[in-house]
Amino acid sequence: MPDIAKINAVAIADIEKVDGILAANIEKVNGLVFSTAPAFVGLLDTYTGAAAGYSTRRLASSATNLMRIREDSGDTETDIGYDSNGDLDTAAIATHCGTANGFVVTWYDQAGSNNATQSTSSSQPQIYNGTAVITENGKPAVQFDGSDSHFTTSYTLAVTTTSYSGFIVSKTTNAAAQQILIQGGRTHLSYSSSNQLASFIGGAGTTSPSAVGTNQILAEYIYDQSGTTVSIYANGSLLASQTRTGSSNNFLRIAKANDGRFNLDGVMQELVIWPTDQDADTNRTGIESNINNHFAIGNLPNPTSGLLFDYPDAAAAYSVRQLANTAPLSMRVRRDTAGGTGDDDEADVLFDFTLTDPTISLDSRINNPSAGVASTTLGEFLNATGYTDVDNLTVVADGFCNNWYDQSGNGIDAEQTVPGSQPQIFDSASPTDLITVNGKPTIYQGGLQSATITPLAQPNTAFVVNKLDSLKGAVLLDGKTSGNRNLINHGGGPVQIGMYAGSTTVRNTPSDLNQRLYSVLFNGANSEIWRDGTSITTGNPGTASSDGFSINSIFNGTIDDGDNIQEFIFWNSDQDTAGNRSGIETNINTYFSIYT
Amino acid sequence: MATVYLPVQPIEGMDSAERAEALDAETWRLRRPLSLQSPQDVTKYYYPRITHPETGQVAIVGDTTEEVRISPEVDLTNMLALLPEVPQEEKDGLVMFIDANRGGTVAFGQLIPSTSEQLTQEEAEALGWLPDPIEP
Repeated sequence: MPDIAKINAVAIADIEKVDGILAANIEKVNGLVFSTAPAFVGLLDTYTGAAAGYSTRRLASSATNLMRIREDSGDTETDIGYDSNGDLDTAAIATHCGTANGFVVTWYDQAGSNNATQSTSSSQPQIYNGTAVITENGKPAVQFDGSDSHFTTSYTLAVTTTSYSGFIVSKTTNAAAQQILIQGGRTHLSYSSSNQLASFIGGAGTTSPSAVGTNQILAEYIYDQSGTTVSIYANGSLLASQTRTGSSNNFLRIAKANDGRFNLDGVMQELVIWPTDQDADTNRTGIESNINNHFAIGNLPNPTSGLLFDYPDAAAAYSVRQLANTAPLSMRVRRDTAGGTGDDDEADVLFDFTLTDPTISLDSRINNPSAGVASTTLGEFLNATGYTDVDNLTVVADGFCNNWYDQSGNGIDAEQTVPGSQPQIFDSASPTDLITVNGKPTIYQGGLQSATITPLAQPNTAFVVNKLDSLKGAVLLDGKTSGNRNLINHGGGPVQIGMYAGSTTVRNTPSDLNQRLYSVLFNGANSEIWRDGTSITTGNPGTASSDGFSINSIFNGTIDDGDNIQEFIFWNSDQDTAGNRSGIETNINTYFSIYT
Repeated sequence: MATVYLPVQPIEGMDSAERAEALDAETWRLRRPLSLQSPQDVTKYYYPRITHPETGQVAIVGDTTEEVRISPEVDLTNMLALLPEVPQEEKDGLVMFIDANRGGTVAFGQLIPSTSEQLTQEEAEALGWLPDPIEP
């Protein structure tokens, strides 16, 4: 109020003349900042110069419509844009189609004017099934029937003169038939009849060394014209490379070969082509992250930033914060409404990418929810205070973690299928924020276990952020079977932090109720425990390997929780001798502010 | 809370572990029937299960006082098929009891068949179900 003292005593009714003035024009109110929605920046705005971009999301600030659809009752057509989140406007599709099926007539090119079209009704791919928009992993998907549905474009793939980079989010439902993703003359990227990812250019082809499965993948086709080399990737990993041996310039066809064969039997959600080598331009991994952050294909390997990039080759990593730019998924959450509407529904939760350090928050996007869930954020999903009750829960839900996703790219997710044993992350009695320790989210009590894996022989190094709420015996980390345990626990009398690896529990330092970072090296007689970066215990707990991860749980699945766990990372190596321990500890402490 | 250990006997076509898993899943489906579950749901069971370290038999670790929510859409078909040793009159009674409580709750202890072995924590420990895994 002191800043606007000159209008004190002026009644609101007397300042009606400012009605209708845009905030942008009120520059004379010195010192006041008017918040405006941040300008949209899409994939094609960040990575410019694309030749064509088709998607079920908004890719460019200049985009207005994403697709044109036809309903098969009256065969009327309409253009479909995007909602406030930049996602395909599924409500508009449902409104237009009603109980009729919906088919894509035109998939608009958001990069320019190379629209993908299909004027033959029986060859149009489907987007709506009479009840709902077709989805894959929670996002709208264009479905191709494996028979004749496909698109053509006017864009020419001129491989004799131009490099190309194609990024395609797709899924096949037929692992035994060759199916084209994109083709231009004798250039294509496809699924082979053995379910490999396959490329062909000019007169030569190559395939991935193994099948890529029938899950959603990000398939990539990177062609370096100067070196005449094609490389194919899936989910960010290089699968195979080949050299072009012939020429081939022809227009781009989507989901069908030029000769009419090899239709895609599956879905496609995004296809972007740049007339440049995006790997050589050092954009490839950034594009992959952008795509994965939206479609949540999975926590992929080979990060280019984050703790797991700075200190690579972790065996497994779980956290409430993002540890690798290739890992958008934090956890899967079940909501408990005590038997009310929406009870026990689940959803994957992504990190909140609007934060400087992406962390799980109530603003986090959710993905791949149980049927009937319309919420788009975790706050909506739980009906937290300040969020719209999108799913008509009528009560605030409790939130429980039933899958803590491994961010290492190794897919060793930690799961808890039993509701009564699932760690809690949100308490309806405190409905304004997630459960936190020292201002950062935590999983609270309960426990999770990974699958049993090939035993990881010592040396192993584990880092755990933990806070006990009461002094008690508790397991922070264990293996999966009695013969393969790398155990970190609070135990004994008085309660002390200790380690065990098949021989003896080594402990000598009392536990306390402070938030702590425990770094534990399992290395036979050279084993050691550091607390908040300071060595506290050395000894020989045994030489056992670790064959998986029980978090807040004993190896046999019995919950013996240490109350709060915020991060756990495990390396199958000696991170102390490697000179990485203090750097890892600094990284963790910088984020969690555990000690000074 | 009243913890109860329910060792599960094998039946024709299912060993102890398989039957225990199936029974646990059907218990969860009392609350969230298959018709409401999504393929991507992670939560599939109601209670933890433990394996006897020597015999390999599996027990469901339940809580007799826990109020189990009964979905209005509950379907007992699979559950009843997993209880071949339970007398028909008792099965009929279970169906009537569940039907009467659709949309409500019932104590888990009231769902345990008379034919099921029930062990307390002390009895389970005495029978070797719970070796101390922390201090080997």
